[in-house]
Amino acid sequence: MCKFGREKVLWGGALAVCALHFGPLLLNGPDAYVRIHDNLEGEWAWLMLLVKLGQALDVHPGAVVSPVLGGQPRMVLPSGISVNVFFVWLLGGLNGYKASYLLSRLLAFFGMYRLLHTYFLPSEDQGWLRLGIALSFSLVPFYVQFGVALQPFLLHSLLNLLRHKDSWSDYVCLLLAPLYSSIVWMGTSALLLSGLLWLGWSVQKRRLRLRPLLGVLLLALSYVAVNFPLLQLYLNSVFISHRKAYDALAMLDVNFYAGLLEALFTCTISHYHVGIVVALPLLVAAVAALRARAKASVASSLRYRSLQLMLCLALVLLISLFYGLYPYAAAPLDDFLPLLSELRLNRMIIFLPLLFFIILALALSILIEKGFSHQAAAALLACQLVMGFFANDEWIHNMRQLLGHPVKPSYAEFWAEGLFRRIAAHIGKPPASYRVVCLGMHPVVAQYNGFYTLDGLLPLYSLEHKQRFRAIIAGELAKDPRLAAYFDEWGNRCYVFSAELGLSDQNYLIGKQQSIALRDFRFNAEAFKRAGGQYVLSAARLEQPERSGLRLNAVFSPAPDERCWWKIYLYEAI
Amino acid sequence: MSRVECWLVFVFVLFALLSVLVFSWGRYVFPLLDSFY
Repeated sequence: MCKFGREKVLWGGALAVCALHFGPLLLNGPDAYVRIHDNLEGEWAWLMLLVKLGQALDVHPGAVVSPVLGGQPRMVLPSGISVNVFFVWLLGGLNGYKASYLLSRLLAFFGMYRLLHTYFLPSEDQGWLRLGIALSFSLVPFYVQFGVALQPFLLHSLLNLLRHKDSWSDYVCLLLAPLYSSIVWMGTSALLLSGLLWLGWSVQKRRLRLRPLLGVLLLALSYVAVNFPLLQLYLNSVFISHRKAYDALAMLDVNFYAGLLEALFTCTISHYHVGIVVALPLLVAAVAALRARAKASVASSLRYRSLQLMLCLALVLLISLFYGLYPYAAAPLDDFLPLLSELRLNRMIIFLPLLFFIILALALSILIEKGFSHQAAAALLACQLVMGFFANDEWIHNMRQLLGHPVKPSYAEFWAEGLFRRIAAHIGKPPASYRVVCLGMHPVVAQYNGFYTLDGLLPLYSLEHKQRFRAIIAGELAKDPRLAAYFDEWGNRCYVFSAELGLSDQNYLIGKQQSIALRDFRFNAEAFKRAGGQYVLSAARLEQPERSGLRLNAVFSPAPDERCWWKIYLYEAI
Repeated sequence: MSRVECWLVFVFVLFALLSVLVFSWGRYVFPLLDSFY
């Protein structure tokens, strides 16, 4: 086949992989599955709520988001100056998410292709390899909000600056990246690693180059400008955050061997927050590439790529060890430097997916140079694509939905707007005049449907509210020390817990068919009423509600053809 | 195919099959997977 024809086949194959990747999400319409953990229950739902309340761009220091946790400052929620907020505003929650998913994957694909072309696989006959690796990277199930998709662009710009090949587009990239990434996950890690890269480069070349430093400063300033309200809150002495009582390390197994095990796990499968990657096979390929004997004619040309590969492997090892051993190292310093556990500086694992796929690209190119057949390399890439598809939870659930065997709530079922409209109509009072809490379901469902809740999931909220809320759920916390530690030492999830249900995520997703009944639910109705509470929206039935100071007001079941995950028992405080 | 090639292809195929199994049905065996898969 001629070169042009071969390229057409390759790009046709890439388009087919993209169609298989995006097809299920797009074809499912309102029944599409959108990841719930930290997404529909948090990060994405906050944006939807802010847009719905018209507070996305409200930067007034005194602005309050009333439906969340009894009313919290607007500044605790993500910045409104972001691509994702724009999508939600323009297209709504679901279509906005689909648009953001598509954009992030396309950016990941083209960014990785360009990075490999310029710095790792520049040869013209390696086009198919660049294509396969870029496709594999775009399949990683990263969160659209955190910014993994932008990493190849950022690294490309930084390397351009270091190598004196910079142009205006590199500065634009650094300036715009904060609009589509998280300061907590990407910002701090990118600044730290870029700074170290610049320092290492300067020491190795024995030359101080100021342009890369300017690039890093530009990135830092852009993050500060976009997230100014949040940073302002950190400096505000009046607002006392629940993080003052934070002891995130207490939830972890703080010992050396547990840390090593965590590091081992991280460097072979990555982490769900940054995107699961089945990385053990590609690490094996990297070791094989370094060990295989080269022909004398190509040995010198491989030296540079082998060096790049070893550097990437060392970075993966160091980042994983830093992640695993961070609690062990930070625990003794917790009394003097509480910021260490509050800020969790080990979030640079967010760079692991990028490093893994650069490693695979380098390993395969070295193996091919050392005599490995193209067919075998293509087979490895095909297997990596299969691993990528099946590690992507959103793709699996959307395929299940498409094939008629769903196991998780779809987007429309999760929000169940019709059911909650009926509940609000039944109560018949203005929602702002009373407060509710949720049991067995995520409070964000009630918040999005117009209720004002005392519970919720937030990365920052007032310590005073946490203490007030603890009094309501103290009975259940006393039954299970794990629940007590989860709330007292961490507490971002300020939920009505039940010791009978336990800590699993699935206990906030009790579906209409599950018929779960709680025998002994301890609930301080007096503290609840003092906080303004009146109703409990429960996805589980209480066998003895009167012992909790509650009475059953009504039961709401969805109609047979209604898109609704929940059956809600409405309890009223007596 | 050289021995290294055979071994690498074997490892990748094995992990691809394991991924299909674990991520599709592992939620019924490993409760930790249930949050996502």
